[in-house]
Amino acid sequence: MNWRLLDTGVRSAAENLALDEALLTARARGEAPDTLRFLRFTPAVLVGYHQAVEQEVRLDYCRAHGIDVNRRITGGGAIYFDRSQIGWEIVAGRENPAFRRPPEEIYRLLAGGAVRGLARLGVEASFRPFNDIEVRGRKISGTGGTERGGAFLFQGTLLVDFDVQTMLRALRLPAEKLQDKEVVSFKQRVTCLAEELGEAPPPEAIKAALAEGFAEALGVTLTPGGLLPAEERLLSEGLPRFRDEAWIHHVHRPPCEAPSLLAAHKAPGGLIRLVLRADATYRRAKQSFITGDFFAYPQRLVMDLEAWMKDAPLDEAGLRQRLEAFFAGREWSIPGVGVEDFLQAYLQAARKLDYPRYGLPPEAVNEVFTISRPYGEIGGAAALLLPYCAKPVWCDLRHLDMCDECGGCTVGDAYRMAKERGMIPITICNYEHLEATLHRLREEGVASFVGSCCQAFYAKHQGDFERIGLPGVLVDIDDVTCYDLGEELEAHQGVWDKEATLKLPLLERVLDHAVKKGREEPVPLQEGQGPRA
Amino acid sequence: MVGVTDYLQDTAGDFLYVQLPEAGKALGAGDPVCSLEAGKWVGQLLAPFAGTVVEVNDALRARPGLVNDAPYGEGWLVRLAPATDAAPAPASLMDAASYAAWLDELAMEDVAP
Repeated sequence: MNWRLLDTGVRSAAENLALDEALLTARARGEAPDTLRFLRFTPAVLVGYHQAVEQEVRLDYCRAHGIDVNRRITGGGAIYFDRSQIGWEIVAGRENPAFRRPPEEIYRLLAGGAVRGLARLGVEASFRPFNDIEVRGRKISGTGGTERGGAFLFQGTLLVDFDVQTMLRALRLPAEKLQDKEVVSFKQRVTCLAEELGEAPPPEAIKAALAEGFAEALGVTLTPGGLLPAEERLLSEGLPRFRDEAWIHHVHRPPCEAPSLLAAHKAPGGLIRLVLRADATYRRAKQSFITGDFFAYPQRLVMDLEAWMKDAPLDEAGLRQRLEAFFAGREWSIPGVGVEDFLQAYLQAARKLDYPRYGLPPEAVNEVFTISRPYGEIGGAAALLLPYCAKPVWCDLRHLDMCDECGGCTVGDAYRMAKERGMIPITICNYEHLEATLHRLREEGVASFVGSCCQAFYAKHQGDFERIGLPGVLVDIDDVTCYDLGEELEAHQGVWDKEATLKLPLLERVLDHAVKKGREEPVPLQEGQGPRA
Repeated sequence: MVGVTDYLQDTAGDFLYVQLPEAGKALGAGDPVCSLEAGKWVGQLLAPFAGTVVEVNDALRARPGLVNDAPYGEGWLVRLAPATDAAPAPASLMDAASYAAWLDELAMEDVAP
């Protein structure tokens, strides 16, 4: 069989996407041959056909840096294209029996062309369901597809020399703060030809290798050819539409419906930290980002798990099924960490989707940690536990369980807020005091408590809180903590010489929720909060 | 009433997005009715005959997974009224038995060398 090899060079996002549609339409009408196309972009961010730009893209950054933003006609997630990347795509008719198989087999067959091409360049890559090409667990190419009439288009990107910093700034990924640690972790999950081979081969050499790979995988001969008049005509007809904001912003969904949810679960073998970008509308996972201080074998296990959890439903049964299917199908070991621990981390994150229904601002869901019960089920709180480190260093009462509400710090305000709600405020002077206090409250029959502490303290003592078992809500504190400074020993001994600040507005909302007796029914989402097409 | 077959939902995988038309939209035979996405693949449902969209399944806006769970029930997509002069010619649509036979033929093709 003879196919056309088409190279459309470097073009803008609008032109490349209008060409996708023109080629597919011409092929569906029988006006063009089956084709392997190579394409490159001036810097661009492309969202998938059904995605909302405002949820996936940092528009201000893209505008300021001249990065095009546009929408593909194919499915999948948002991607950043720089000039170095090479896009490949197959536009073909369905009448070929090879393309009349179930979708997953077709993806594997088509992606197989890129895998063979990479092998010719000396990179050992494999197809990873549902739709990635990876090298030792690290993604090097993502794919997506669509169809019109009797023809389909399947496309992928190949990372040649990748600029992870720009990608993280242009896209909304589960790395909100862009800390060095996060950048390093992202780099570990993605690779490119330059990294695999020491330097990036010239574009012509890459395309030649890919073309040979596809020809071999599909059993076809490729003959270079240009755009046909019919395609040129469809391109100029379609281009205005792809330049129109109406196409680019065709789907609207509020960014708060795609939150990054943090979870930290303490397993016997170590701490699992999960950042889960979720789709709140459909209650599905978008991206997962798993780190921790456990030892996983094989090394790529966590990266494969992250890929596997893409689009997973975020209810307990669905998560359990996905996780069990992943771990059942492979050889793995993580000492002291089991499937149940990953499930707990995912559930912890997923429960945060419901917090806004109980009056928490969506941007604050990661500043609240719960003990023993989901947030919605905590009620009848009778005590407010506050850390001594939020009192000023000069305060005579800093290390005492009392406060004269002099107005000199946030703890005084919190004491007042507790008393107004009939709760007992308590200053916690160290961990031992905390444990004794929680035991005492439990014995007194208190239903639950509210407290404030930093995330590091919570992560360290999560197991202790759960063991003591008094349900409660903890509100994160502002500023640099003793843990950030590596001064937790001094803080434990009560000689820490800095002052933390309570998040009073958030604390007040949590108090209002937790003080109510009994369970509170969630407020149903209002009409019109679903996605808008 | 128009939806997808059990075979299609099963082979496509979990539907993540369904984009429905507005009720009242007029369609020619073969025009795209709505788009569905599963496994990074965007598919278009084409109108089996010319007609007008009289109702869309709003339940899918919150739960696209219904198309997988109940393709012949709660997972329906749209209700189409045939244009008066273009009532569906029965010959152009398959019934359950001929669809099953067509699937068998497809499966035979797969194993053929």
